[in-house]
Parts: sequence; structure tokens; C-alpha cells
Amino acid sequence: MANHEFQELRKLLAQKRNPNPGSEYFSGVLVEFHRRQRMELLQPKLTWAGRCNVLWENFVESLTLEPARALRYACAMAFSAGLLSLSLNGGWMGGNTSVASLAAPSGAPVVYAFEQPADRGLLVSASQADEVIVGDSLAFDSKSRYAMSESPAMYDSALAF
Amino acid sequence: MENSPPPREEGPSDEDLVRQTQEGDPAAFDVLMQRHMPRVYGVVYNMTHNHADTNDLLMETFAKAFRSIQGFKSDSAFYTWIYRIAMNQTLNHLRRNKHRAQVSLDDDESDLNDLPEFMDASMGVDIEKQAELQELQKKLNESLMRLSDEHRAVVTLFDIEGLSHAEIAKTMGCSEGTVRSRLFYAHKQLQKMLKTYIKEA
Repeated sequence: MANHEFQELRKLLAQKRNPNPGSEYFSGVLVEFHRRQRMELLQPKLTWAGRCNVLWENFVESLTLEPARALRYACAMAFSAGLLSLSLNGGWMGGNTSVASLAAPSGAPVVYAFEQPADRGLLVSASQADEVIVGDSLAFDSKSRYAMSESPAMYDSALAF
Repeated sequence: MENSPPPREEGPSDEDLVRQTQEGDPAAFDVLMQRHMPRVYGVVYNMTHNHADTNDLLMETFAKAFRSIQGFKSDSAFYTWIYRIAMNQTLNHLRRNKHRAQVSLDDDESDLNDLPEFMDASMGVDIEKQAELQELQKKLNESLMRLSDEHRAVVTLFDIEGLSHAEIAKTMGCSEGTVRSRLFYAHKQLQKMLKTYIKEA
């Protein structure tokens, strides 16, 4: 393209006007921005799935614009997936452990049920560390269960108190 | 025609405001928003040519910037960082809504002109000249919208916003060479589309 034509084109493009919404509009945007920030604060914190979703969105976004950033997100996602898989399998607790930590009134003794690899049940009272009940013949499943004041709050025939 | 960054604003510098925001002062971010919103609006509007979409993208851009501000390093200017976020959001939005690109530009523009806040102050001064200008604006918008998103982005940032090649490269996350070649191609395309107007000019 000849230089003068290029300059003419630039002059033409310089004439392009954008709608100018004015200061009232921008003040409104600021107010709306504050409202959304407050709403965001009131929302519950992100779950693991939510965090992974955010990472995924950022990864897809960065793929097109910056490969180096995409690589960073890919590593972060792989790390998150590893952590998630560990937490789901109870990998760091050395066994197939399911912990029922359902909401119980504070101070009430809570009995946690652990599922052992060899089908051995172990009931632990959270308020009295010395009260440990071992049930050899208990057949545990993955359901959460807890007891308040030494009586079962949620009856489960499999537990057979 | 030299390109230059946005004019220096009065009051605390962007760097100071960013630091204050990072230290937990959200009012400093409000100042940053007020300072950069009009230009970010212009960038996004030139990409979408739709006020409602621009409004949403503007909000998303600043929300994302606020969430990520702790990670902002002052090795680049705040405005190139915010342009980058705005451009990422806009390009993703355009990719997601490809089917909407068929919507007539005339509809958008006529809607905008009805809003009092969008009225041109010089409206009514010279009706014939206004009509010519409107025709030119329409043609410019149509020509820009016929470019690919990436080509439109570099033309918007270079010819309309006045960023340098290096700043555009930072904003778009690509090399300066890519910016130059995209600009060259886009200018060639625009020259073809706006041939009549260039001769008249």
C-alpha cells in the first residue's frame, strides 16, 4: 500500500466516533459494579469443582492468546486434579477412609465411622478421646453416620447399635 | 501520525492506585475504574458495536481485574493490563456468540441514537454534514465488522486507541511481528472496502 494511501486510511479511521455514554452512565456502571461485588461476597466460597471450573475457563481463554499462560493453567489443573483424586480416595490417610462429619450441636459427642480396608469398624467419640469402640463384625458402607449423646441420631441397620 | 499512550491523568498515578488497591483499599480501585472506563468502553464497543454487550463486558472486565489485581506486577502499564483483560473477554464473547454477528449494524446504531446520553452535541448544526458523517460512520463500522476479530482488534488498538505496536503485542499476547503483519493485512482489506471514501478524503 502506498504511504499516502495508508495515511489517508488512518485519517479516515481517526474520524471514527464512538458513542460517548457520558459520566452518568459510567457512574451507573460503578454503582452496579459495587452491587455485584457485594453479591459476590455473599455467595458461598467456591467448591473444588468450582475452582476447577474457573481454572478450566482461564485455560481455554489463555489457549488462544498466550500459550505460556495456558501451560501454567494446565499444570495447575493437573495438580488440582491430583489433589482432588487424592482427597476422594483418602490417599493420604493410608486407607479407604470415609469420615462422617455431619453438623452436630457443639459439645455433643460425635461418633465418627471409619471404614477400614479389612472391613473393621472403628467408632470414635470426638468429645472423649478414650472412648473408642471397635466393632469387628460391623459391616460398614460408605454412608455417613453419627450419634449424639451416645444414642444414634440417624439409625442405620447396617451399623446395628 | 504518531501513536501515544493515554494522556497522564491528574492525581495519584496508576501505580500508586494499584498498590493501594493491593493493600486493601477498594476506593483506589474506584478511581482506576473511573479513569479507564471510557477508553475500555471504546475498545470493547469498537469490537462488538453493541452497547448492551459492551456494558456487560465492561463490568466483567473490571470484576476480573479486581479479582486478579493482587497478581498484577507493575512491570507493565495498568492500562495495557486492563486492555488485555478487556480484549480477552471480548474475543471470547465474540467466539461464543458467532451466530449473533449476523445482526444488522443498522439496528444497533439506531437504538443507540435514540438514547439521550448518546446524542451528539453537534446534532442539528449542519444536517447535510451530519448525514455524510453518519454515512461514513456506518461504512467504517461495517468495514471493521467484516474483518476477523483479531484483525479488528489490532486496528482498534492501533488506529483508534493509538497504542504502539509493542503495547498491542502485550495486550494481545503475541509478538510485535504478528501485530505488524495483522495490521498490514487489515489495512489492505480496509483500503479495498473504503476505496471510495479514501479518494473523497
